[in-house]
Formats: sequence, structure tokens, C-alpha cells
Amino acid sequence: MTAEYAIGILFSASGFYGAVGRTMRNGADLACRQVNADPASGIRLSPVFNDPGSDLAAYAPAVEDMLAANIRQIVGCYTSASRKEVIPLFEKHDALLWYPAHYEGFESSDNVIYTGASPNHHMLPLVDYLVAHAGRKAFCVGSNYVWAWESNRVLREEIIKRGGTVVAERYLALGETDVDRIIDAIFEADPDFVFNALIGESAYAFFRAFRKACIARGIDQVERYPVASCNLSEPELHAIGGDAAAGHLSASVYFASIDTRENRSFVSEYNEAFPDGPAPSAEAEAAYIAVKLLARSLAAAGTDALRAVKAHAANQTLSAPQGKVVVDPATYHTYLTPRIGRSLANNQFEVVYDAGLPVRPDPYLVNSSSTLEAATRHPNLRIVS
Amino acid sequence: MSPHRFVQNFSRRRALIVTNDTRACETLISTSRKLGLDVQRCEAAAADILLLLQSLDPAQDILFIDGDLNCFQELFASPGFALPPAPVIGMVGVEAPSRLRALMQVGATAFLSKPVHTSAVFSALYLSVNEFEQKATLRRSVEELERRRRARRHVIKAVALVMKSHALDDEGAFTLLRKESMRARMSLESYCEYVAQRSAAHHRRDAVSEDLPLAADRSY
Repeated sequence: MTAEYAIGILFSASGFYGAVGRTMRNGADLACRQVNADPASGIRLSPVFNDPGSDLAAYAPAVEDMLAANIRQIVGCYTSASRKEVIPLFEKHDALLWYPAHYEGFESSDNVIYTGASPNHHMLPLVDYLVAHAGRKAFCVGSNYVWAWESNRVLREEIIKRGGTVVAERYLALGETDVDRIIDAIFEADPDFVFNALIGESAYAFFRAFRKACIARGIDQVERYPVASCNLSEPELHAIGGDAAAGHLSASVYFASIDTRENRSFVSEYNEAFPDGPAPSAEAEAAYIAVKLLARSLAAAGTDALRAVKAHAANQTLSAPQGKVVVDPATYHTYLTPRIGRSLANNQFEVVYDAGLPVRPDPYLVNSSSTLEAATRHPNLRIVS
Repeated sequence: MSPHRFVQNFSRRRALIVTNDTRACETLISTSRKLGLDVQRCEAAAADILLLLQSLDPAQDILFIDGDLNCFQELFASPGFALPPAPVIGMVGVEAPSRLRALMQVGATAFLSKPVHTSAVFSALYLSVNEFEQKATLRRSVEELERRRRARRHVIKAVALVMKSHALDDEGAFTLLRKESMRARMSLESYCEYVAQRSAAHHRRDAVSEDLPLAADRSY
């Protein structure tokens, strides 16, 4: 008899980052359907869905409900704040969180398997690309929480290492859409590029208003002030809407336009299963990968107990839509293939850089960052006489 | 003076772990390796710890020591015991003041509660290494200030000499000495010491120099 396991699927399908949450839920859902349809998978998954509605306070009760229902494996969370909110519950109850989002790194919980990109997967190639193609003067904008703070810190370190500067950093409260003052500050600072770590509606409002403000001033925004992000995916281009969505740079390990057999099949099955969208994205693929890896680990372990599943997750390998992915047994993050895309008018990305092979995750940037933090721009020197 | 830069990457350093707590040790070993450190478990007897403290490399080593060991009194009483020249993280099981005190006495600049939680290790490393660096900077700064304080009498002597030889008031003499010390790339105190010693030497030869200090030997 085929073993059946209940797994939790915890994504905010509504609320201010609901578009990304729905694409993640769809990716996980598609993987469940494929596992259940494949007799070779050896198991059946019965997904239990929960939508915390982009409300941080709703995550812990949602996880508690799942744990109370004896669910030990949960795929979920998008923001780092929500992940940090629920990790203590996983630790207390010997459960495992499969976290399928790119994040800022500097974490390695024993109760989490990270299937999204680590900071070395997106930030380092993006900085190299920007320095080569845009310039060395960065203006950083972000949502006021740990993702943007850490992303901007890493960007500052990397850009200073390459002889550049960060002319300003501006933060908006989560969900805030009043971006006019930030845009005025960008024109005043006149950077070579804008690094965006805003999320959800704040990001969409920024992209629309910045494009509009540039057009009003007769500036070609794409050429003069390119905007680069590590968290911009296809569904968000739809959410930005109109002409404002094209021409932006995004560092990611997956774009729906990747031309491989696995990806063509993933995109067509996704679109067939979810005709109302949102479009397939890096987050959808990461959630899809998480469920596929979870299914294989469950099948190999023959139980959903934490230690056994984790032991079988180590070195688990998958031919994913993005290419080969492997769970690193040292960090329980995944080997992924870094890419950079430029958004097009059809709400897809053209790939402008591809690392060509999976790169080892480095969540603490131990192999990529300098020992000392970046020096400040101005040394404390003054002429005394 | 360049601004202080914090250490944020501990890869290629060495974690030395002194504990009898197997679970804490296992957690520390796996977490430290994730952070890029080499890990070594060390013997927990007083004599072994003493040798270990004496052999620490400040540029590379970080010591994790368990406050629940029962060898601290013996260690502190050992001849040759001195504060270790490397960052120390104290592992705290029993939170009794005597044990916390022992960890402070052995140089801990950060604490890590037992059972050791993986997510606390990076913070403890960050705090201990940077606190150690700041304390070392502060200690060097105090030593330098002490040296300068001891040299204050040379400044007074040199100001008096220049007032006399150049017919200046004390402000003028001090300004001149400060300018000359900068030109000679020396601290004011060292330059004044040189001036005072040179003047004394001249006096000993009964040859009072009129061209006092102002053509200092740059190679000095």
C-alpha cells in the first residue's frame, strides 16, 4: 500500500504580497499533483493549505494548527519575518519547514531546508553585472525589514569592494505606496542605478511612479536609471502593469523563459493547472522544488519524522525546471544556478547572464565576503594646522 | 585615525572547544563548520587548559569554554595563568554568579547559554571577537596615553628650554615644538624628550647650543 503523508502548505495567497504567495502555493500544489499522479514516486501527499493573508501575526497560529493536526512537514513562508516567527514552533515540535524563497542568508536552523536562493546566488552576480553595465553609484530603496536591510548591506559591501559608492538608502514601511519623496531623492542624488529591495505593493507603486516621473522629465529610465532587484519575478511584472514593467533587471535562479525541456513542461503544466495565474515564477519553482524534494525524502525515509526526512534530504538531487539542484548536506540550502534577466513588455524576462551550472550555497557568505566590514567612504581625517 | 571596522566573517579561524558537554560540543562543531571555522575539541583539565591558553594565536583562535567545568580555581591558582590573548566565549549552564565570574576571569567577552542553540552561535562569535578587538584597541590606547603621561615632564622641560632660547612665551614655544614634532614625524612627547635630552647632553659638554631643537635629526 502506498504511504500517504499530510503536508502543510503555508503561503499568503491574499494580502499585500498575495500575488507572490499564490504563485508559490500553485507551484507547491502542482508538485503535489505530479507526485500523486506518478506511481514511481512511491508515496501520496495530502496537502493542507493555509493562507495567513500577509499578516505576520497569523503565521504562528497557522503553524500551531498544522502541528496540532500531526503534520510534521510544512512547505511555506515568503518573508523572512514570517519564517523567523514560526521557526521556534518547528524547533519545539520537531517539525521541518521547507522554505522556498530567496532570502538574505545568515541563518541555518536545524529545522529548516532552504530551497530558495542564498545571497551568493543573486547579489554577487548582480553587482558584477551592474558594475560592468551600469556604473558604480548605487541608490538603495527597500521595505523596512530584514530582507532590505541585509540586501542593502551586502550590496554596499560588494559595491565598495569594486570601487563604487552607495549615495543613499531609503526605506518604506511594509505595504506603504507613497514613493514620491524617494523618487525626488533619486533625481537629486543622480545615481548610476537604483537597487530595489521593496516588496509587494510598495515595489509595484515604485516601479510605476518612477517610470512616470522619468517620462515627465524626458528621461529614458531604463538607460539612465536602471532598476535592479533580487526579488522581481513574472507575476510581479503583471502586478506592475502597463509599460512600467519592462526594462528592469532581476537576479534570480529561475525565469519562466528558460529554454529547457524540463522548464517547458513545468510552464505548460503550471499554466494548464492555473489558467487564472499568477504566472509561473522563481518563487513558484522554488516551492515546486521544495515539494518534489520533500516527496523524495519522505519516500526514502518511509516516515515523516524530522531526523529521518532530513537525513534523506541531504544530497537529494533533482532535475528541476532551472536545471540540476542538490541539497547541500553542510548547510541544508540548495545548489542553484544564478541568472540575471531583463524584463520585457510581455511580462517575461530575457536572460542576459547565466552562470551555466549550479553554485554551492553560501548562506553566511563565508567564501564570498571580506573579514572586515566595508570601510566608510570618508576616513576620519582632518587638517589640524 | 581610521574608523573602527567590525569583523563579520570568521572563516579560516579556529574554534577551540573546552567542555565535557557532548551535546553542546556537537552543536558547536556543526554550527562552527557551517560558519567556515576549523574546529578542535580540547582537554578540559586545568593543566591542559593552561597550556592551551598560553598557546592561543590571537589572529586565528577563538576559545569556547564551559562555565560548568570544575577546574577554574585550580586554573587561576596555577603559576603562569594570564588572560588569554584571544577571544573567549563562555558557555553558561548553571547561571550561578561564581560560575559567571569564573568565565569573566578567563576572559569571556560573550556568553552562550546551554543547551547551545544553533542560531545563537553567530551572535556569540560576532560579539566575542569584536568586543575582544575593541578591548585590545582600548588597552593599546591606554598604554599609549600612559606613555605620554610619563613623558609629560619632557614637554615641560622642552617648553621651558625653547622659551629661553627663542625668547618666546609658553604658547609660542609649544606651537613651535608641535610644528617641529610633526615635521619630524614624531609624537610631541617623543620630540620633546629628544630636545630635552639633547640639551642636557650639550650642558654636560658645557656647550650651550643656541640653535636648539629645530633642526631635528629626521632619522631619529
